[in-house]
Amino acid sequence: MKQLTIISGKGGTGKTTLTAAFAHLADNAVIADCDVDAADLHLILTPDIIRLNRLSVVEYPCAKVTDEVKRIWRKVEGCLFAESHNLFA
Amino acid sequence: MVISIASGKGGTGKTSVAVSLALSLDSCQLLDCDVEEPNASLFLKPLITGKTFVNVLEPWIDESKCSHCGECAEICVYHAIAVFEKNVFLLPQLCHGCGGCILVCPEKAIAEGRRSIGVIETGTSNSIAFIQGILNVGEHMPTPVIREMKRFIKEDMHVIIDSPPGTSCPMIEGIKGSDFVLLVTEPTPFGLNDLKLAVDVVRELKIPLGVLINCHGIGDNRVREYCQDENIPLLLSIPWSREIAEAYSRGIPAVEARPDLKENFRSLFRGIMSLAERKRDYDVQLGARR
Repeated sequence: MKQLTIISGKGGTGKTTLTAAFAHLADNAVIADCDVDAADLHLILTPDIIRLNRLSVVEYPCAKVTDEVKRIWRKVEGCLFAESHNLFA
Repeated sequence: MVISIASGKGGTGKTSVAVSLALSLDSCQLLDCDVEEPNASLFLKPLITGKTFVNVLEPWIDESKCSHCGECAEICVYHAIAVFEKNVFLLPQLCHGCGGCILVCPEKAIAEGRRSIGVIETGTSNSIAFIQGILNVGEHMPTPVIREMKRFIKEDMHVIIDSPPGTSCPMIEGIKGSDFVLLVTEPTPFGLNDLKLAVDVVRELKIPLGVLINCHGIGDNRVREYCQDENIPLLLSIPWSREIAEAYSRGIPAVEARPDLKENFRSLFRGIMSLAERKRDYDVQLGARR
């Protein structure tokens, strides 16, 4: 099996259009729309949905924020965890 | 007044709109928050006068102190540390900078290091104070760069944010804290599908929003109908025009190719101001703000 990825830096350049064209030409292919926050390929291919697979994520073990964790985070300028807990406020 | 220009779909014209809006105002700050692919500078050719590096936490491992117990590798859900019998190996690109490994190391062999993941450039282009974030290639966390960029915001100025596309973390980080979000879309089934997703996100954040249709005249009328049904103000439609497209292909902003459009952008800005202020007054009445 060959795996082919259609990618671009800039948005709206035609990734989905090109993928749909390839999907039309290919026999026996698996087509994956990986643009998970704004998936559009289904609008062209109009697939029948056979099964929905629910995904879950692993809860982060450091989600329990102790004072010691905060102390470390606070020392880092721009630390994403410190910001999200408003430690710079 | 902070206005974010966003969209679910890529390539609908966020940067074009942000740049043209900025060029139509007397003075403003423009933040190009699309840190993975910042493009606004190609239109504005700013003079860059300042650079600030964005750092995240990174474990620095002192191998001479390490007993290879493997506790650090165990706590790391991102598998950024691998411990072998005689060495320990860090994969910085997988590290999210939580500091968990530093806490659990019984030998205190891990120090709080720093890693630069990107840079924020500041400068000017005519009357525009220009700020852009650039995420280093290979880095996976655009949000810390976007968050750091927000510190450059001067509240007493008009601020225009060119947001990253999509509906996930970078886009949310871009629009968070804005007074208004302008969603740029195109009148196609793709534009509509992604507009709906973006509207859901902006509503979740409780920020007032409006829509701009770019390339009006192609496609169908369903974006307009959707906006009417959902009571979303449609603030401007920019017609599809060969003149604008040709200018774009040469890196020339729409309002420079068609100076008459400046008045449209100024009226767009007035519309945004009044909608954002109406929301602010409403919040003050409810005591919801601050």
